[in-house]
Amino acid sequence: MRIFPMDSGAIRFRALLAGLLLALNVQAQTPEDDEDTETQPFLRTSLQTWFYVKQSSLAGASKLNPGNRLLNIPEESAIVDMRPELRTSQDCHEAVLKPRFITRNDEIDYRNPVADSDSRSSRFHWNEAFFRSTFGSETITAGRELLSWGPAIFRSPSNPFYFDAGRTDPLRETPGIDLVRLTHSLTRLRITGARIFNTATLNAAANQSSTWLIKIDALGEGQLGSLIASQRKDEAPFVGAFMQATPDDAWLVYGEWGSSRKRYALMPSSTAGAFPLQQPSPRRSVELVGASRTLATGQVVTGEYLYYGHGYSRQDENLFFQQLGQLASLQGNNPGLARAGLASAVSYGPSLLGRSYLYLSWQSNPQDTAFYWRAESVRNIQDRSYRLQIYVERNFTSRLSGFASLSWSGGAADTEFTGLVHSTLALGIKAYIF
Amino acid sequence: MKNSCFNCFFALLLGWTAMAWAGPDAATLLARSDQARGGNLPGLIWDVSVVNSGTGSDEQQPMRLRVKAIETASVSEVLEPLNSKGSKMLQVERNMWLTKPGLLKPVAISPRQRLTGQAAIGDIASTNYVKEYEAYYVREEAVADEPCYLLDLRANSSQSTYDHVLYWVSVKRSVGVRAEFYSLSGKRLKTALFEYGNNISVNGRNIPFVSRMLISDALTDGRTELTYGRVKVKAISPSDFDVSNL
Repeated sequence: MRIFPMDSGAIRFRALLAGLLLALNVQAQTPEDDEDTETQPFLRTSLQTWFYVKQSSLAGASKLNPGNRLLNIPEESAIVDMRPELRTSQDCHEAVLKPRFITRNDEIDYRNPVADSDSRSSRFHWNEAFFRSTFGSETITAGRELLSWGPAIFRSPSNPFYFDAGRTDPLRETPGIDLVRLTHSLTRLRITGARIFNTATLNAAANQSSTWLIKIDALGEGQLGSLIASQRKDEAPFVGAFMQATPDDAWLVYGEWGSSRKRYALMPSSTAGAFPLQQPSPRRSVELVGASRTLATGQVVTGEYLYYGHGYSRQDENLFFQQLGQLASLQGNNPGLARAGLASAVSYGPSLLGRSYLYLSWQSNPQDTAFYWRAESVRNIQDRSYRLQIYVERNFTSRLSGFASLSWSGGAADTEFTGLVHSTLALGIKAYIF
Repeated sequence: MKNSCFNCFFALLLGWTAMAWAGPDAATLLARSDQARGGNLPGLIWDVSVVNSGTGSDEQQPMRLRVKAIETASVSEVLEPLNSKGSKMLQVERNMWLTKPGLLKPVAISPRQRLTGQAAIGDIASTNYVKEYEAYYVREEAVADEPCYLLDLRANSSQSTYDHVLYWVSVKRSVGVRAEFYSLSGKRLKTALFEYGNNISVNGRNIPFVSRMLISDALTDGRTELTYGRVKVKAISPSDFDVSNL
């Protein structure tokens, strides 16, 4: 496997953009007089580039991904992830641009009898790109923006778009969605109305285009509460809420709730063959309670419990894996049916298989710039499978840091966290160009 | 008649003497000194440089932050070093959020985090001691040969960064020149000295403004030097303190 390969066109494009951003950065860093910000724009640019390798150990006899021919999960990857950012503001206007360039070389082991595959790909996308203006108490934002909220880390039940906001994966950057939103801010109250045009950046198959959203935030001295409602044409509305409070300096307690009907519900069945689909799903609620404590050293310990109403009972989870096994065994006689059935399980299955989860994390002082670490565990209380993850990052200089991420899963066969990947190790460096 | 007049006069003289000996009004002194550190202003934007020295300071890189603050909220953004550039801390009363580019969208954190950074957010943001503390006049005491009023400040708000502060306010300049910060248990946490080399214009008046704060840790040899510059007094929109806009 070639490490960090790039074709010449990609190299030229990246060099050109890096040069442009560098020039903008030089302009932004030019010694300023004591300028009046009323007349001159504030310009900030930055460029981070991540270089890392990732190695995954796949589950031995995965029923959901037999022979790794459905999901094509790479066992080895080399990734270059360029993250430029341009932010400019003048008076009450602001523009933010966050393009992303990712080049990766993947080695995919399809298991015998199919040969391994070496795959190379480059991708450009806009992670965020929006314009924002403030007029007194009104703020209007248009473009692609990361519309996540809420205090929870493991999952965000109160958010109709970002149930998994990516907060548990330090290597993942959650993309924005396309919207226009208007926020009216009072002293302790904020009201936001938004029209969402496209969420395909999150899930192309479940694009929540043409969605209206309203969010009301009430802020107290040490509390924040929020009510959310969203509605997509011809679909059932989503309602959600979250609340957070600081009973004393060290503690943060919170809860989130959401109620919705999914477009599809995959129904495990004891009948051999494809999974039946219910359209739409029954209305279910998702609830999370959590607390975090900041120690005197600044380290933070967090615990969260999630009840996921769209998940399966233990019995249904057993049926799910049983049916997967039956589909996988059809690969020889009826590969089309097998593939279609397995693909539907991936596409329409619930975000989490079970209904009860416990999330724990312990991290170093997030304000420490020299060394940062985080240890997390997630446990499916029903099937007792779990995933552990450790992330460490060390700054070598102001322009270079190194990081490592290790995750591994455990539990009995036919459980959620043992179904696809057993362990993953990532090692890399981050270069802060400017 | 003569005796009652004399008694009235004597009572008035006694009262006037008692008032003179009671010393200056602590709350008034505190309000005047607050303005030189950003309090009682419609809004403040400034840059703060943070440099550490002492044991273990090698691992703490110098930082430069841009801070926006109003009476009940502040947001600080890291401009340097590069590996922290773009990190922000937002405080709205006792609610706090932290964001670090590349890792997380704003994460809610507990108020204790305001004390655990290289410099406490209460040190880099504007000061509003008159609202956050009950002030008591103690005595006159010189600091580096400059006559000062010593004030004893006790936290009366959950927003207060420190539980107890001893604060020396210059008699002549009405600015705070020295402070000692204590925990609830009475343990001295740190000592700070202030310089006022900046000037700001407020309602047509030029007033001195803090330019440097030197903090010494009471338990170790650690020192933190905060340098304040590019100070602007300006009304700031509430949307700047909206976590969804971070």
